[in-house]
Amino acid sequence: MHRRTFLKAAAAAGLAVTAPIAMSPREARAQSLGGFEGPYWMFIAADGGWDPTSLMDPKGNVEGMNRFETAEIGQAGNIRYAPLEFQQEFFQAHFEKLCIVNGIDMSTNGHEQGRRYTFSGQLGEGHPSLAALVAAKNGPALPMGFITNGSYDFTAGLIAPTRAENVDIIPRLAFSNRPNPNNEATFHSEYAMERIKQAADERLAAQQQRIALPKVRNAMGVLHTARLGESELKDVLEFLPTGGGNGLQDQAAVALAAFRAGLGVSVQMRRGGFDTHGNHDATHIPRLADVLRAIDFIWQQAETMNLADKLIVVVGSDFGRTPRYNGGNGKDHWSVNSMMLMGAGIPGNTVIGASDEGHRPLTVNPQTLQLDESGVRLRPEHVHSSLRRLAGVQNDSFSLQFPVSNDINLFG
Amino acid sequence: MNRKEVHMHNKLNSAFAVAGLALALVGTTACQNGFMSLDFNGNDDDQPGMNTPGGGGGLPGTGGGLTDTTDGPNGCQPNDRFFMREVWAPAVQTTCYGCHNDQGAARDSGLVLYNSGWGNYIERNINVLNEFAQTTREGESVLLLKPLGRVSHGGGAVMSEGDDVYNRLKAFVDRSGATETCPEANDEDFYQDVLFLDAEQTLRKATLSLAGRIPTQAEREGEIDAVLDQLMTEEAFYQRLTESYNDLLLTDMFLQGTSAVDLLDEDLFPNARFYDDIADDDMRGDVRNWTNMGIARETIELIKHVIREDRPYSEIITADYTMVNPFSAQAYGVDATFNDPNDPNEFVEAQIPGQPHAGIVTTTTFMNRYPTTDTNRNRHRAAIFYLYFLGTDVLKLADRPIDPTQAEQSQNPTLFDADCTVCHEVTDPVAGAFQNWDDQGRYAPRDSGWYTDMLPAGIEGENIPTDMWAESIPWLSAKAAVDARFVESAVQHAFRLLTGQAPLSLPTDATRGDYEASFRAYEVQYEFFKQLGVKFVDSDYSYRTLVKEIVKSPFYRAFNANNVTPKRQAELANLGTSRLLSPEMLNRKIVATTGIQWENNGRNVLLNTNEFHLLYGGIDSVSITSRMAEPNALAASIARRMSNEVSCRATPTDFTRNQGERLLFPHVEVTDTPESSATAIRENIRHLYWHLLGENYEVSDPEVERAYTLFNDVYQDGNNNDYGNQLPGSCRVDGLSDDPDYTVRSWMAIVSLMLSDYGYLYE
Repeated sequence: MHRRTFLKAAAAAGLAVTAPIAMSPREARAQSLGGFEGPYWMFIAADGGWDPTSLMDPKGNVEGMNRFETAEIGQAGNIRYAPLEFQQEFFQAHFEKLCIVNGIDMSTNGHEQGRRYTFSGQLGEGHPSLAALVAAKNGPALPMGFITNGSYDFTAGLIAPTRAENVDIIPRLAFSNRPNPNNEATFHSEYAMERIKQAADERLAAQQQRIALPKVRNAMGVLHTARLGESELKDVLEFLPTGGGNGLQDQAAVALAAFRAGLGVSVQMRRGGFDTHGNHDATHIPRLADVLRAIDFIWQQAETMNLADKLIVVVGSDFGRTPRYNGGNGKDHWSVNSMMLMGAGIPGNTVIGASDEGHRPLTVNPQTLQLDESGVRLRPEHVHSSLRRLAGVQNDSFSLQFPVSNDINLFG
Repeated sequence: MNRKEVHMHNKLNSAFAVAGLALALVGTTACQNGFMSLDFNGNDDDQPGMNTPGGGGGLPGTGGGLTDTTDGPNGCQPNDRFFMREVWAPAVQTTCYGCHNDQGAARDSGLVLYNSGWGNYIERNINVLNEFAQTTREGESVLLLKPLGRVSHGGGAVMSEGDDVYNRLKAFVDRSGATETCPEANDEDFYQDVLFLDAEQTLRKATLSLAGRIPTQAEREGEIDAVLDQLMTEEAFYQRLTESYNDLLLTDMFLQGTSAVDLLDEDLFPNARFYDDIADDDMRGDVRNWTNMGIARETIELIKHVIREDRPYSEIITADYTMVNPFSAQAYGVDATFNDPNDPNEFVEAQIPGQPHAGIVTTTTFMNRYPTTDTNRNRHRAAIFYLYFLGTDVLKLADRPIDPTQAEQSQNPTLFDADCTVCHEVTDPVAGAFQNWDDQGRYAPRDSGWYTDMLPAGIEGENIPTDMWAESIPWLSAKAAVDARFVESAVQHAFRLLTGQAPLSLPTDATRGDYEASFRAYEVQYEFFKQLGVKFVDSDYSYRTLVKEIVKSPFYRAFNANNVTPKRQAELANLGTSRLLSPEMLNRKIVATTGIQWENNGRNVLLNTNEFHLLYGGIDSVSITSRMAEPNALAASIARRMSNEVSCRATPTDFTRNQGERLLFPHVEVTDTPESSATAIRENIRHLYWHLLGENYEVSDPEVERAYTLFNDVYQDGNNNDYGNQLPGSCRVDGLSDDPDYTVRSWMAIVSLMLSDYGYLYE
């Protein structure tokens, strides 16, 4: 039985279809009926701690901060950028979509803590990533609801993440009853396959009556929910990419195909190698360019696939890097950060917050968002409360279970 | 001694006091009827626990005051539980910790408390406070006088005589001078409504998980400790250990190509690529691979060797040898004796000339998996050493927010800025202990000695004696091996291996609705770990003891519960294993239960990274380093495809075996139909439930009937439609390709149902 047909039938019959623990079966069913039509969320992690002063918060050669001159700093609209690899092309092409948040106080120099703070909005443990949160809200039973390729992807049990990097094997999975996906011969007859699934559903229902240990019940529910999406995987095939790009571009291409097929809500992507304690410029700057090229690729693909007006891209990192180079030409950990936000509902050509010449955070007025000495420091929770509003999840049971400060709205 | 040194001195004392505590607990008598005394072979499915409920006490947010100074809610409260529940959570954490931490206002006061980043932090805090509790002025404890403001206290008066915080600290002071009367807690009530696997089911689960096989009939009737001892001599168990330790150490990143051989400096090891001289291409390739594997795996092989020989587990970091196979021995240029000099899987002890050894810590792959740079100065290695062997997450030590605008303007903040020293005063001495190993993992003592702008080499206030500088890591490892935190880290690794779960953390947010329940769950698991640690120490650090005790424990055996209330749901949230099998474990289970491999064009589908290995949650030890905990749609589809493909091959294959050798169909033949042999079919379904899923049913059980109905429906459909008399092409095997009665295909449906079941895919 097709998942949607099954879900509709199950909903009509009041059958206790299981879902991840935080969502009632009824909610899960209601929200998974029909293909998901957006908005779609892409989160990109520059793992290791990027250097905002070499990207969207450039200082120039002030007390050894950067190894380019202040006069060389570029400008696209209201956004200043470093005169480094691929940045002019990128910022000039996309500044009208870009919202830069500078001078974010991370309060930590720890990688794990920083990633968690940037992508969940909470410094302490326990909060799910925003990618998991929006997917749990909008597509808990979608087969590729939350795709992750690493970095901070904690789900808090809200949704099962999907790892999807090797696209070549998807046809064999989409047609799991065929020895060869390109041939219609099957292992079991169509009747037998449906009866096997029916018997499995009946057995699950009986077990749900019997099993009371929460961990076991939940695991059974997660497996069943995951299984509901099996038959729709073939919908993704139509939109899978053929050519290869860099790692981030491949990750993006799979996610966009899942979005286009209506089977995905969010993706957490990752580019590592930013923890450049040594030889900073030679290794860090090209990796920043990789990230920018991937974002550029995403928007080009999104236009082609008619997804651009439903797409939100959030780019962040563990923390920033020190204002000075160390003895090994590297930069160490620094707890001041920046983020890049783009897409539907995000005010473009905008810079919110700032840091001083020593890359220390400046304060902003919480109402006007202008720099204000008596204002507050921007922190990841401010970005997240704003993104949660944008996603319409700020008052959901999930969000209330994992609250973040709600006192600033960056998007007006 | 300056204040920093006093601070470190106090911490050092605490660490070894804890080690002493752990050792002192050895041999203590268990509380009567404690859950550890479960009669494993008895009928304990329905545990008759104590009637007194756990929980409550003085936890913040529960509205409870101080419960008692000697007895807890269950009548017997060890000091550490009393401290956690009645002192730490409701009083010290909320009133004192804000200043008395490494970054707080009282960081130089001499009373510095530990956060959860530290291994054994509860015990360490007990020891810190005990010292102050027993320090008196005019007969009164300083631990009371200071917060009362009656003697100098930087924070002034933070409590008054008779208030709740005072009463709790007073109770702690009273306990601190008394002999502990109840070193073990009684947690039977926690399990009162929990159902456990019986002995046979537990044994089946353990043998499948640890050795990839079904227990024999003799084992099913035997004593579980003896069976587990036997199991831990089998090679499959050591394959399981290889996977588990690589999940932690990730040294298999060097398995590919010659990436391990490439780590060897040819000046130090001129014979590293001895295989290049082999003329035969195939032989040269094999020897190259075996050499590389020998080096890549020496770290994990050393751990396996210690466990295989049942030596003290601490030898993994203190051994004065490494492990080599016949080929890595040649690459290193060491003399070693082998039973079979052509067997790449034979590893023996060996010493590499010119360098000291400290177990896995000084191996080539460990040093290179956790590399350093000129500016990192071994700090990464130090953090890993703390994390793996001392249960301490250095990156969690700074739990107070740091402020970049207040950053010390000094050129050396790691030595003088409190925001930095909170971690660096811990890591940097240990980093110094790694000083004789360079950024390529070579033993290369520095001509210029260690950096003078860092703390001296050592650990937690104790410097390495000058006569030990050349053997700095063996000195460090010897210190760690007798630290109670090493016991904790070993216990927790074994727990992860057996259950697939991370240990619980002490909840800190008292406003959460599940706080009290989570607290209760934590303290029960904490007590379990503590007692497990005692048994571990008592057995002379035998890892096998950990395995046996965890297998028999409630955490491994719980599978269901009766009448679970919402509060109990929160308490029991993490009980039971419910682990999605890794691709390696699932592969072994398929082979053990069906007798065939799941292959595609000769490649093992679950183990090959070009097939489904990574998509089904495997790791490559390089970019994908953590296992998938929950299945997604792709993983579910892989499981579905597995059930279809394997049932397609395994069903006819099993029918071609002699009946006495069959795994799946000992009770039927392909000629048995519902019309002729309904009873035999039901009996075989009953067998399959046990064999594939570990579930025991009577033939009349609804589960058996449901499967029988499926069999019959598929059989009738097959006979009412023209699907042909032959099996699908990919399901035909030597000796069986026809299926005129449609029974083989009907059995394929049953096998497919069970192979895709939760009970098969999880443990």
